[in-house]
Amino acid sequence: MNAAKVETSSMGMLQRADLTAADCLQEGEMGKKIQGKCFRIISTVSPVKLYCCYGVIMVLTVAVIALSVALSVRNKIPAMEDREPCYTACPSGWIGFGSKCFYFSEDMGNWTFSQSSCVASNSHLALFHSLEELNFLKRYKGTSDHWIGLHRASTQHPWIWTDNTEYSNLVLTRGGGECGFLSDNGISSGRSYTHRKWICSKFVSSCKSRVGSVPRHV
Amino acid sequence: MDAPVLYAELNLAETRGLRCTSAPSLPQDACQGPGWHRVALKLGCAGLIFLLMVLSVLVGFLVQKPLIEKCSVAVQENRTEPTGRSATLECPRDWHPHCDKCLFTSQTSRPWADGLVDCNLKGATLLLIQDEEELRLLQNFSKGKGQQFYIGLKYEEVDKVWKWMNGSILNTNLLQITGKDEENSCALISQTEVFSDSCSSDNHWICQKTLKHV
Repeated sequence: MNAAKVETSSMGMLQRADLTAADCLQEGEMGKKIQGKCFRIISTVSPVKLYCCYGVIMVLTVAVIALSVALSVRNKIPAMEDREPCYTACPSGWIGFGSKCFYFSEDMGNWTFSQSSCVASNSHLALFHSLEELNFLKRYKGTSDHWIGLHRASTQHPWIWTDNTEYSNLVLTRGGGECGFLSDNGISSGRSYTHRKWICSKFVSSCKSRVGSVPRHV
Repeated sequence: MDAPVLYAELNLAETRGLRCTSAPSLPQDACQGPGWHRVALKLGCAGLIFLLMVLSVLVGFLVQKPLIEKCSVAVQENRTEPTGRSATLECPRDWHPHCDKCLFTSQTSRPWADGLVDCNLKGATLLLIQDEEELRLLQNFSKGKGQQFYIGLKYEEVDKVWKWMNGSILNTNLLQITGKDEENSCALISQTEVFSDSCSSDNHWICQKTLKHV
């Protein structure tokens, strides 16, 4: 014990600076070793967990993207069906053609009810003034018959429009009724109390001089 | 000699103390790394939870629409189920089974006489209604189609009565006709009523034929 003490004391006296430097070096080495151990510990655990997390995140992200695309595609299809040639100047639910807006009802009613419904939306049962308009209406109405704005007091009276102008006999009317409607075969007529869908029409004042988005057949 | 010995001891003690203080500090340095990683892990977990929630919502949206379709299919199935017999009876293509009949609805509008001819050509007749239940079912049918239909009922001016195409006279307790009773009047079934319209008016029509047992 004494010998050791003497040796250490002598070394200390002779080389204080050296010991100090050695201590510093040892401290540095210790720190590095500890850090290395920490990294090793982290590395042994982290890669597996991290890879698992990355994998799960990737799978979920792909799933979300795929589902979003699927939903958007589904939503687009009905939207495409709902979209029809339409004037921006026409109210919602109305279809523009030429200088007019047309409304095709989903409900059914008698001729008087139909005309009242049109008047309520600041229009009247549909008038047409050209074959192009008539063909557009026939094409757009689908398979259902629709009341239009032609009527007469009796089978012996001339046809007139809801705006009180006389019908120009642009196309022949058929049937034995007092109220005109559009069928697959052109203009037919039925009794006013029977139930049909209807078409309203009104002018678009800001678009009177413009051609509609629906191409005309020349 | 004694004095140097004391000094040396003091030096050693200080050195050991420094080492002890530095050793605990290193773990602190080491702890800082894991702290950063923990924050990252928390964020990752939060992201995972968010993705799971979004995924469940999207799956919910997708599942809803097929369910709606299934419901519509179920509705159609329910329509056939009440008939009961339809399971063993067979209707031609484009015809709808209805109790002991097959029904056909036209795709176009024509005068009543054209409908009559069309039904005859199909080996059928314009629709004959036998009871109130059938009338109600057909009115619902008309509602679903958004259409009114000619049936096999016409006004006979000579006898001043409404007659079915099978020759029998209309029982007004079964069915009341709204509108004119006059020449050239034919019956239309609509969503709520049976109307009298001009026979020369265009309308869709319903044909019927009796079911053949298989």
